[in-house]
Amino acid sequence: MRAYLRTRGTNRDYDFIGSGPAEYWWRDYHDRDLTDPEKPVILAESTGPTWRIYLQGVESDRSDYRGTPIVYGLVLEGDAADETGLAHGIVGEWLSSITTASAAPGKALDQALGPVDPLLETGDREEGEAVVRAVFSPTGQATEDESGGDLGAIEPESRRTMADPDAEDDPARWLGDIESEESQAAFLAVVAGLLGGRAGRAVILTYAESAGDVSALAEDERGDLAVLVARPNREIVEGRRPLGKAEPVHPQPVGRTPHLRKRNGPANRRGQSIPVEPRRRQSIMVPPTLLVAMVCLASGVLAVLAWEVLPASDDPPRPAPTVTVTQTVVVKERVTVGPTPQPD
Amino acid sequence: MTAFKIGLLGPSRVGKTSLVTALISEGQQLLAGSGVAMLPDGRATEDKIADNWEQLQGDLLAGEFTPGNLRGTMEPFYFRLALDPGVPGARIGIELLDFPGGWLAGRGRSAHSESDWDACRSFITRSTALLVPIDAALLMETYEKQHVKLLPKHLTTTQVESVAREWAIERNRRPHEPALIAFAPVKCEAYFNDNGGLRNKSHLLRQKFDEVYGGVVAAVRAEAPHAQLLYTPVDTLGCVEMVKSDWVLNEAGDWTFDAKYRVRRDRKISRMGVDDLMTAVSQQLIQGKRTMTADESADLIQRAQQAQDLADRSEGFFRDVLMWLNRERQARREAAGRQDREAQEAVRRLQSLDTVLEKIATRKFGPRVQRL
Ligand SMILES: Nc1nc2c(ncn2[C@@H]2O[C@H](COP(=O)(O)OP(=O)(O)O)[C@@H](O)[C@H]2O)c(=O)[nH]1
Repeated sequence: MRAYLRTRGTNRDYDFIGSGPAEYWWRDYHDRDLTDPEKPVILAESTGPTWRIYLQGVESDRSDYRGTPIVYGLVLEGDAADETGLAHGIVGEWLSSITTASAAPGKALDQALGPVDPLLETGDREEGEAVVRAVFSPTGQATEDESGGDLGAIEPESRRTMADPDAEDDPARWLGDIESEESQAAFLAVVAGLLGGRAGRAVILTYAESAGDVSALAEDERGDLAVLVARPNREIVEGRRPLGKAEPVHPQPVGRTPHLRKRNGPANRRGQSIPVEPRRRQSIMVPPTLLVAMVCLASGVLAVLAWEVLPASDDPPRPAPTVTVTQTVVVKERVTVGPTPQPD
Repeated sequence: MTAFKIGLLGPSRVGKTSLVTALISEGQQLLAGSGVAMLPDGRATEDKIADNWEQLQGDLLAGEFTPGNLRGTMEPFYFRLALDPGVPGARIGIELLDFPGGWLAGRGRSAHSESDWDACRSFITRSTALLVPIDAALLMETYEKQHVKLLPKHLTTTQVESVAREWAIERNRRPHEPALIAFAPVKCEAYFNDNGGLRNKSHLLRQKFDEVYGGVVAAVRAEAPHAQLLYTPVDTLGCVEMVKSDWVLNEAGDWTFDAKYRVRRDRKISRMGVDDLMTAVSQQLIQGKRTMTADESADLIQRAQQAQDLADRSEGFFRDVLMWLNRERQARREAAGRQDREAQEAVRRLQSLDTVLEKIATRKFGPRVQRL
């Protein structure tokens, strides 16, 4: 397991100690209007063999030179064969700290880190990781140093029973409220599954308050999906609401596929697919043999007529371009003038 | 919907987030009469505005406050808005990038912070409008030589100049696109007497601005002569008085500037100058959208004409007969009709945009605004 610890010093701005993860994948949740990664959140993802977890918002006891309180962020990466017990313990601690506003983990990190400015200046990632390991170790070694009381206050969440990931084969897919202790426990059970090799996600979403807000995510995620909604001023969600299982996509034969299109705008956030009328073909089908016969007959008669009646044309015959399958011109905004396209 | 980009250029805590929030919420009201509406596009933006509003209210309720940080400074934040000119199909997407101000002064050590900064800079240089919030209190309350020396560092003027220059160079490559740079002194309550303040020190503020930002203005003017340069002092709170300001040496041996504000009795936010900034921005964007729509409609008219020509064209006798039989001719006529309708619609959109544009263009800037 690799751990990356992020915080700020009195003067130095927020950064990871030493180096950060190669990919800042959590930003995707902001871009998709799901969560504010600066708020207290946990985002756990697993492909099965590998997992990664973004944790944010444990409060430090320190403040910066202007007196603004400082917070911690942590990114963990590992695989199913890794120290998943430690990772699960950290997630449990973190969850309890951000839901109960407990100061213990923040204080413990502060004390174990020492002066942060020089660490941000010259420290290595490993130094940050060592502190994380010491503070969150399930044996609670870090709680026995001379600093005493506060550290001892941490009750490692890893001592909570980890759910047996193999207990059920069906993906766990639900949405609950971050305020609900029952949902918190279920969330930790899903995290345990993800760490143990199940694919899926367990996420706290600050922009979500109902299943409608996460339907696009539910559609994308085929494995486990545990969502704790945390939008401020929301109506508290009672119990856990099932999140629909994503239907596998079977491409339909071309020609009979009703074009499915996502609607833009607010309705899109509900993720409903709106079937659009298949475009009507412009031609009528005429059996080829009948067509040939008709053409021969008609052209014979008309050729005679033409010879007699119509004036001769000097123009060489032009190829007839066909518009039988003309597509409706899609009015696209041109980008040659005005704004430049959005960054990917 | 292609989005117009607006860049924000200023150090941490200058008041970038508050300025954007003010722009959006005032914009909604100010544009009301013109038939143009401004809406947050998505939860992230919607919630960020609500959050900033709540925190400002917290500052005001406290009765007395020292501007602190209302948001974290770890991640870039993209505000997404839609400017709706009330014309179907002519919605204008707006994207504003608010990035941790610390990035301007110097990046962290990780490789990622370099790529973060590159993405940020690329966004800014591609922005139609660039807003430069400036801490008016810092500018005005610094007299002692040893502190004056620190102004460029605290206002990050060198970095602002270099990024603004890059922006101007890029704008100059697209002379047909609108370009606006607005220097917006914020926290101006103590220097104007038009919003409950007692003294008018606006001349001095402008003078100090010229002294410190003269280089930035000159760089932009030299690189992008067609850009509009505005000076738009803003009160995002309004209902406060500055009671004290100080340069203090902190434990780490660094000088910091602190201003303390007292909230006036009514505790009601009274913004000033935000409407002017909003007007300037909307004019730019609607002008940009109009140019796009004009191009688009010219294109559609041309296509409609081509479709009509094709529909009417004789392909020779036998082919004409064949086309009549398999209804190709009819299909061509239908296609031509369709394209003609689309072109007509684009022209109508253009005319409506013109009407809206005229309405906004006739709005006069308030007395605070100066063209540079
Ligand atoms: N007096 C006064 N304070 C302001 C004004 N705008 C912002 N502030 C304060 O400045 C601080 C920083 O604002 P913020 O928008 O978070 O700055 P950012 O870090 O640049 O995004 C907050 O405490 C605000 O209350 C203003 O126009 N007047």
